[in-house]
Amino acid sequence: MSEQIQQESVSVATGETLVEVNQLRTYYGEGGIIESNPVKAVDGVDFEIKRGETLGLVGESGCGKTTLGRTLIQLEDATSGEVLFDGTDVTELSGTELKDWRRNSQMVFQDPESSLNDRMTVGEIIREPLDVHDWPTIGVVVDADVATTIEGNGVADARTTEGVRSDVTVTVRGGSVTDVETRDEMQLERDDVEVELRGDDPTTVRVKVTRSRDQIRRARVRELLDTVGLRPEHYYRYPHQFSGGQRQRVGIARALALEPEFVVLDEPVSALDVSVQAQILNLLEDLQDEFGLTYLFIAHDLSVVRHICDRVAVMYLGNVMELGETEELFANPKNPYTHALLSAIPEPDPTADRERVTLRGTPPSPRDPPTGCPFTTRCPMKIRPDKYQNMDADTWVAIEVFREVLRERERAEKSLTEQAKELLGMETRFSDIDEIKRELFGDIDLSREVEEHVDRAAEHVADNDEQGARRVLREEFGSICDDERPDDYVVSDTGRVSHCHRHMDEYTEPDEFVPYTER
Amino acid sequence: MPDVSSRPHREDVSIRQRIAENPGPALGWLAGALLLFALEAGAVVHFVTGLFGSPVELPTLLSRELIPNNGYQTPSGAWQETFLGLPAAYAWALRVVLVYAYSFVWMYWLWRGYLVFRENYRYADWTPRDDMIDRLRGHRWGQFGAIIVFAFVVMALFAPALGPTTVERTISNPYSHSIEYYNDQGQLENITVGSANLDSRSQGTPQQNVGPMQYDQFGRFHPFGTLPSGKDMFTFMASGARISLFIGLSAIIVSGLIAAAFALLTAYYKGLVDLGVVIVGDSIMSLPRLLFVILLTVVLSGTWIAEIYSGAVILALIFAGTGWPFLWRSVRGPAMQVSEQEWIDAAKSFGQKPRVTMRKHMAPYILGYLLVYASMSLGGIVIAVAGLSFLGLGINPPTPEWGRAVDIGQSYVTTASWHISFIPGVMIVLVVTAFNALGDGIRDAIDPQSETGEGEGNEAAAATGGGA
Repeated sequence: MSEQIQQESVSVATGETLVEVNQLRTYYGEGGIIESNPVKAVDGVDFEIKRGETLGLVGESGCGKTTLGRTLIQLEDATSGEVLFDGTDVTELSGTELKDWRRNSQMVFQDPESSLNDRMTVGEIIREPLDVHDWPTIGVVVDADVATTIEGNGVADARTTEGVRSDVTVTVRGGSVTDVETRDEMQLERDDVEVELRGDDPTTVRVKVTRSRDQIRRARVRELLDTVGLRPEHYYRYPHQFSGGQRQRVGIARALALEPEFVVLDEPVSALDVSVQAQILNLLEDLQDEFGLTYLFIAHDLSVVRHICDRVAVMYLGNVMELGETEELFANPKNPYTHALLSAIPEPDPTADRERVTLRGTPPSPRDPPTGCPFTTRCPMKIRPDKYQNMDADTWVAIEVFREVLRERERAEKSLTEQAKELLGMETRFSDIDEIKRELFGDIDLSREVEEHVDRAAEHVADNDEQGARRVLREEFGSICDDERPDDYVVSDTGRVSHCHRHMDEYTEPDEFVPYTER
Repeated sequence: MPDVSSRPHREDVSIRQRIAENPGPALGWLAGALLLFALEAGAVVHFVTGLFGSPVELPTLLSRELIPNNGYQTPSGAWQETFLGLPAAYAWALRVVLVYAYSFVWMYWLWRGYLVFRENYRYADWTPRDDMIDRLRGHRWGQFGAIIVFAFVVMALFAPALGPTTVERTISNPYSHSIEYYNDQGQLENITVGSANLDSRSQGTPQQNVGPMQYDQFGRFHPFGTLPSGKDMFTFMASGARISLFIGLSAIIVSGLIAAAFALLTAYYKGLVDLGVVIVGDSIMSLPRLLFVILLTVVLSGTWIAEIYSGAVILALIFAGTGWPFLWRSVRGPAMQVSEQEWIDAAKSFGQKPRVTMRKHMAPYILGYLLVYASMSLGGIVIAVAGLSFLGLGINPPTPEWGRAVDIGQSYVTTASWHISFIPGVMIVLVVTAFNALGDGIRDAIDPQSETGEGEGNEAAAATGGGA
């Protein structure tokens, strides 16, 4: 009996799945009155987080990583898909169930300036979650040689009530209380608990806590301040009296107040000085060891991710492009996007000779992501049709840019005046297709075949038929990357998955493939 | 950890126990408070019993019966029937001084009560409220406002005791009361107040004028002079303070509450809720306000609610109902801004109720703006009520109202009877400014980031930018 209790409070069993995300989608701005073209911030994501591990989530700004984190703790409503937390789909929860579940998952926010209410003292800020959940419900475990029932104000049987830990352990032998133990986190000492036995078969164990809830909460806040490396006297200070690093510690203390299992860290150090970042990262690691926490660590600083995470998921345009063990992924990226992203890490050695993949342009709008692979518009390893395998790099880039320009043009909203001008055959800002052509293809010798298609597309554009133009180019220069979403391919023994068509047998693997621009 | 749980901590003992352990200071303070209360207990008993029928009369320190100033002067110059035979002006002044002294002592005693609690019974050596008080202590402009507002509130509270005479005697029922005086022939004569008033009128000529701080020919002292009807203006003003304060404060409080509630709701929920309130608010704002108020006053004039407190309640409600969109518009922006802060998300993430989130995490940030706007609008309401009185609407005569005095005196501004418009006008300006100053002071005090003196920059500038 007592062994079991000990094990429970010391550490959680690692390895089993805590969070499982299946085909999760979060769209913004749906159901508009006139036209519904939502921002697809998270667009079909699958992964799982094991108990006690740290999963990193990296990607460019605006790739949807923060939205994903917010959806996991139900700050955003998922559009579809499920988030299984210990097997329960939390996207379906509401009311009291949702509120109860919220104790288990907390978030540390990116900006410590904005995440703490300046009008409240540090103590009040950390205490608030405790007040909201009417903490504590004191969990009692009775170790007795007879049948017992537990009774008392604000007291619950830790073995039958979910989410309540064994805070007070009462040992009953031969009709009298032989031992009472209390758990440190609950801010109770032996003197604060009065235990009384009444009747027999079943014996009623009456537990009375003499400290008031207020006192227990205040003591708990002081202890939390101590845990995160602040001083208990800071209770009555205001956030603006602290530095960024200290404020972030307060944010961490607030997240830990309810003893959650899962914490989403949304770029917890990116707003801090480099010197302070390490302290906070170490604190987070220590807390993870101490309380057996499971982290989702959102970041765009890759070196931080490499330092703290067990596994990493790389996101691009609402999709997870690659997910695997940190070291392995950093040492040998499989996905073209990961490859490009990692090559952007600055090398401390200036003489080191490294290839750097510079991505062209900007990510497409998440309102209108590409139909095929999300990365297709910028991918340096994009699959080409067979007949253009040996086309020179400049021409290929020019064609890709041309397609990109047409894509953007089609998306651009035309004002009423511009539509009227178009109808009247007047010049609009969209009508300079010849100029675009000259700029892109002016210095390049196009083969007859290519030129023919480019011209045909340009004619469509001149007729205000961008769609037609894009179709022409796609039929000629497009490939599987433009048409089909890639599946997740398992690419290593450790179960790393990557989201790229090049993992199919008929194509060269991305890590073996030399980008066209490098040839 | 050891210093965390070093107990017994003081906070572990309840306030009742803390007082029981050391009852001295608390009992001392309580005795003083009871003594102060006893001096005026009669007035409270009078008021409470008055609610249930005929009021019970008890002697009170500050009553006009104890320190009478209504008397007459014998030809030899001696005063009869006044307090200790003092001249009427001194008797009146003594009463005024006593009333204000009494109020100040009460204020001081409450402050001392707080200090007693802070020094002897509070578990924490320091709490955030201490800083708020310190900031207010160093805020001269706010203190100026506080003093004037205090004087105004005392004037409204003690109106019956402060006036040289009463509303009943000189305004509402002058022909049922009489006074004695020595006439030109040197004989003691009895005359009704109404008839006496006819000879103490201020009509703009030096012959027909009783100015500030003057006696009329019946030996009555008029601190603010008389009205064109010959009635005492100080009595009129003191009583009018009550109604102005009532309308202004209740209208601004009601519309402030509506505005704050809507601002928080629209900022928190956004979307359709916001759109709905925007449409309603803009519709109300697009109406020409004064005309609409006049229309409502006329339409509702026959109903039962228009009778309560001479029409003050209905006026307060009308001003609240038409005024909230202006306040709401001015705090909607700040509310929207604060609703985007991450601490709102944080509150949501641990399951805080929307209501509490709005109150704890959003309301304090719009309160500063609201105080500034509300104190500015307060003047507008006082002035609008005066405007309505001018048109013969609003507060039913003869109930005194400051605005009516301004209007009555309008045609005498350039004459000997300048005081009729001037004094109420200056008082309106002073009171409105004081509420504004107090609003500034409170706003700076509740903002922990504002340092006294320099904190007036951002919010005040932002606030005056839109509404002034």
